[in-house]
Amino acid sequence: MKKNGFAAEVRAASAFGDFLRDQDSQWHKVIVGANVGATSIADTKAKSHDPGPWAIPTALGILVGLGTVFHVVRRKRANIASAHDNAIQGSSTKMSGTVAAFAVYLLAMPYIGFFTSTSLISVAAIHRLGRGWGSAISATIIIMGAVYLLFIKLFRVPLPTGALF
Amino acid sequence: MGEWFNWGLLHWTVLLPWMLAMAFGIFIGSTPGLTATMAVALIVPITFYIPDPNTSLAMILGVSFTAIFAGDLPATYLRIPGTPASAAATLDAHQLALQGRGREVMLLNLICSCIGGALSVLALIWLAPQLARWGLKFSNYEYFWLAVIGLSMSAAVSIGAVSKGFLAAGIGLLLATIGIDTVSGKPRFTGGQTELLDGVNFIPVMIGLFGFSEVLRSFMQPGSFERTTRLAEEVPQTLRLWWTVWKHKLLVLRSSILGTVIGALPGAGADIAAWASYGVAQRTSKEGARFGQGSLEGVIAPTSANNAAVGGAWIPALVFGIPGDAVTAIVLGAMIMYDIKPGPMIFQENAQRMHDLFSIALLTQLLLLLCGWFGIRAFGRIARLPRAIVMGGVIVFSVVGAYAVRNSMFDVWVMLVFGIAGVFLERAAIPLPPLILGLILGPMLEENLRTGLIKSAGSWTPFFTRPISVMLIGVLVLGAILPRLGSRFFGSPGLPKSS
Repeated sequence: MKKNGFAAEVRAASAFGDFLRDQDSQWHKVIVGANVGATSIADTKAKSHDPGPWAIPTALGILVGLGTVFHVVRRKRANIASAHDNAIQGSSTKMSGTVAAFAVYLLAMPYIGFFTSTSLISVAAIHRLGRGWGSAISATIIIMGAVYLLFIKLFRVPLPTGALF
Repeated sequence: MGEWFNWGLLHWTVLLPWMLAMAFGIFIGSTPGLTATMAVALIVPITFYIPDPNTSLAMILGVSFTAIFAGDLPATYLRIPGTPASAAATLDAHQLALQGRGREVMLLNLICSCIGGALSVLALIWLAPQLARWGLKFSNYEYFWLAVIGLSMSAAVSIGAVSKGFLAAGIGLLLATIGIDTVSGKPRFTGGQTELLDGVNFIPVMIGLFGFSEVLRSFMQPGSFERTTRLAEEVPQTLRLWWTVWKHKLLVLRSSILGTVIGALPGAGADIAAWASYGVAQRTSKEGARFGQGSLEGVIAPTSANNAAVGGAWIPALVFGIPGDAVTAIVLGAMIMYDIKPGPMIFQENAQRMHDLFSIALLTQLLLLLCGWFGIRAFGRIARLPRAIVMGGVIVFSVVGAYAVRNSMFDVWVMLVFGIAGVFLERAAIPLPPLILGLILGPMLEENLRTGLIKSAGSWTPFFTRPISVMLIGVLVLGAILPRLGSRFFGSPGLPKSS
């Protein structure tokens, strides 16, 4: 009986087993060949003198680290701290509060939606920066209206929506 | 050979859609988070409904030039660069806007953008084949040196200690290594975040460092915040503006040439052109020490260069079909649809269409004066608003701008992180521009260094022996030595303070 594929002639059950083993050995050669190929590619890569993906980040990391240490030490030696740093300490507390507020805003956005969360933070921010509630609310309505028309209606940017708007 | 100038372009059926498209370009370019690339990508499908190919080309070209200029509007008034090409102009333009000179700065910017654009179009007409052929001689070795020259500008654009400038550039370069390594294909510093596989997106970083950090500072220092509220805008005299441009004619010319040349190099776009010209201007200017604190020269140089780079990018695009940047790539695709086939034979096969294209590009610069003027007037109203309300707008547009780039909340977090980083970096007197420069040039530097080494089997020789490499090294050395010699012998104040 003639078989297609490798054109092998199979006459008995044992012959068919021999045929399969023969094919396996062929595949074995293919796999070994591919492995040799892969190894040779790897060798070529190693010999290519590419410094590798981590060489430049490592070098930069060391330089940036050294540079930072140099500037911190220099700053301490020059005693630039004093009164300026005391003022910074006070503003750092304000900074932490502001950052925390923005972090809560961003965390809430996927749940309550972009328009609700952003309107709330915008009103709060404008009021905190010295405007009255009425002024803060009207300014926010105008800003959010502009965002809605521009991004939702005109450019169809899918801004995050949540349980609310 | 056909008519050199196509008078049919002046018909209202062409001019009207052309100017509407330019108004659209101003609108998109001035919206933080929407880039010039996006503006062109949005206008191209609309042009398919226009029967006249010249009108379509006019609309596309009009948008590409105006969007780059318009990016400077939010950069000036809100400290949020509208497009990456506007980041260099942000430094001085915003400082001047805080002094009530926002409109003057923007009108000056408009004039310089038009001149830069016009000069680059003239270069496109006369020098296209020569410049493009020269640009094609650039290989990995030359691009590596180009990136090094760009990074050496870190020293120039550093306000204060040069060593801090290099530290900031190092941080920028390090940030640029985040994502899939283009040479080996391995992910680096991604922490399993798929959003980081493409690297840190440049736009949220820029919005965070420049725009959102300003918001955070406003909350921390209400005293200084009050000082900058409701500054009356001076209305500048037109003649005085043109006189200022005339006084700085050499700076405009040099920045335009630099912008055109850098724009003509594939991969180096308007952003690199703007930073390079800013750096060169600071090194050579008598008022170099004032750069970053509100220097008009610090506005003239990058704004002349960034629009010139748009024209420059057309040189390799038309002659060899190699787009210099993403905007040109989209326009090139549209041109092929209009049966314009870029290549060395383009001037023979499409002579009349080329003349039309040049006429459109030149006329666009004139129309930009008109459209830009309206854009400035409209945007200038922001300066009259109470600053608390402006800050509310900055918060909203920073968040939307960062989100809209990839529709990703991750980018909004990136923007917040870099906003905080911006506050700390400025507090430590570490300049932000070199960080941006490092982030832009990082991939170009690393990829070309490593690919160059692979090509030369680990030999560094080609980096130092190829003719253009040698020339670029010469430029680098001269750039480092000349200002120091100048300050030694002539007491030039142009050199930034050394650490």
